[in-house]
Amino acid sequence: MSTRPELEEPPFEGEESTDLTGAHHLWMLAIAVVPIAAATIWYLHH
Amino acid sequence: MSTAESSILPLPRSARYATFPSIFWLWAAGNVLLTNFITGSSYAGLGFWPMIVITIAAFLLGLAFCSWDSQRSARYGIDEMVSLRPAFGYRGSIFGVIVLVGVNFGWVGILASLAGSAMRLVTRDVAGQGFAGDYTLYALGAGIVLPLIIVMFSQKAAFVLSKITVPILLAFVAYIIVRLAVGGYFATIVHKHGDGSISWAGAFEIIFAFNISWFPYLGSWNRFAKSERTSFWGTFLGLGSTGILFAVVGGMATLATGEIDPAQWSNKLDLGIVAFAIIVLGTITSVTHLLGSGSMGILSLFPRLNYRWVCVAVTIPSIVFVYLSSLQQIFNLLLLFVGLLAGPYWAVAIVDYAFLRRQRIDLRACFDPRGVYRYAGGFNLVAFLCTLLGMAVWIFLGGWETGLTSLSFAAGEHLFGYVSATLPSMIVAAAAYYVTARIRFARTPAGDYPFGPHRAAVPAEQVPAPAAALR
Repeated sequence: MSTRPELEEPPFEGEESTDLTGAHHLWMLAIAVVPIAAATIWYLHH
Repeated sequence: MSTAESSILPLPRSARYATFPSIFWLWAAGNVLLTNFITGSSYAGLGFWPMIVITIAAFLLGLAFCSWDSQRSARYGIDEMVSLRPAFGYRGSIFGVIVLVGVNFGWVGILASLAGSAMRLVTRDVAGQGFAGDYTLYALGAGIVLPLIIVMFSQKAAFVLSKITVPILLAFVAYIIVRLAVGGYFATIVHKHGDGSISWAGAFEIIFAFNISWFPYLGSWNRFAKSERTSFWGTFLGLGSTGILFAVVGGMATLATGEIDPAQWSNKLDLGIVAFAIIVLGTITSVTHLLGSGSMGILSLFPRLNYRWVCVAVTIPSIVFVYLSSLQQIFNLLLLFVGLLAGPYWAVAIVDYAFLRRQRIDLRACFDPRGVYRYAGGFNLVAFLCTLLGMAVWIFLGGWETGLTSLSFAAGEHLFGYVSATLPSMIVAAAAYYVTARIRFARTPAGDYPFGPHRAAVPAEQVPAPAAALR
């Protein structure tokens, strides 16, 4: 069985899927910044 | 496999079936890597507690970048390489494909080679003797051929494989921890202090570069995610759970035995068949992921090629690495390659999507060589200049890591001790692009930025169909 894409008539639906809220964006930032900030403070005190 | 799933066309929402557990287990399995052990081992010289703290903090920061990057593909159901086109131009994503393919050859080769040498060592230890060509059989069989067959059969097979192997592998790692405890190693490990062999910034650089090496691979799998949240948390927690666990276990094993090579410390800890199973399962799962993603990257450039032949093409060159001698050097070289070439480039793509475009792209233009993402001849030169600026910053700060005197700067090496190299180079590239794009694209419709001038309405018949663009 060939898996070659049939380019002549592609299923070009192009749908968006979005479910992010403002609160989620804050969480996405916090999980990155808080641990490294805490680690840096820990390091500076040792 | 349906047309959209085996090509670079956007997936309709009905085909985005991956729930949080699927994405979580997929990436958790993807990070079940022998190279993760080596990552932890390479900065174990910090001592136990600093090793733990920097592992957790730097992994979470690096993986947050990965999760932010995955959002383009999750929202629009497109491959990573296609998702780079709004920022770098229709043809500008070629650079991303080059990085992907280069990194792919390196990782697959290193994994297969590590698996080959480790399996030979363990089996010779268990069986008492080996046989001629055993290394080649293990390395090529478990590390190359078997994953290739699986991924040629179906890219989706990686999802199924992950659900089976990850729980087993996690149990095996728990067993290593138990052996460390039962063997009385814990007291030695916890009281180990730093030996000065590596700095805090050096450890951060290794972890951060290692984690962002996922950039080129994210979209080809996260386009299957049901939603952005699924993609974000599945990627972050999936990669983080096993990545941190394996790095910490690798670091602890090095502190206990003094060995960096997983095969050597496995032997010293008398893990026997357990180590053998971890290496086989981990290698097959990881290489399956890598080959699937690499193949999709090539297809984004050459959509008319046959998927299975592309799978073979992205696999064969990796065999060269299987027979190179110094794996630790290749590992370090690969991290330099990632930090210098992938870091600034993807930083521009992230800031372009998250801040300049406010997370909206023109999906049809991504497949239209004459559309708004054409820029100049298919390349967004502003984005590439800012990427070059980021690379220059990386060379100034981290060029000394290459060992080349022409790329070593005393002031940069001194600064590296405070800020490392890859993260600052990404920040500079992203900030430069944010500022210059706001100025440059405010006056031209190129790039279709929300702050740019409104385009004149184009009659529908003049807009080339995506299928025509792909031919």
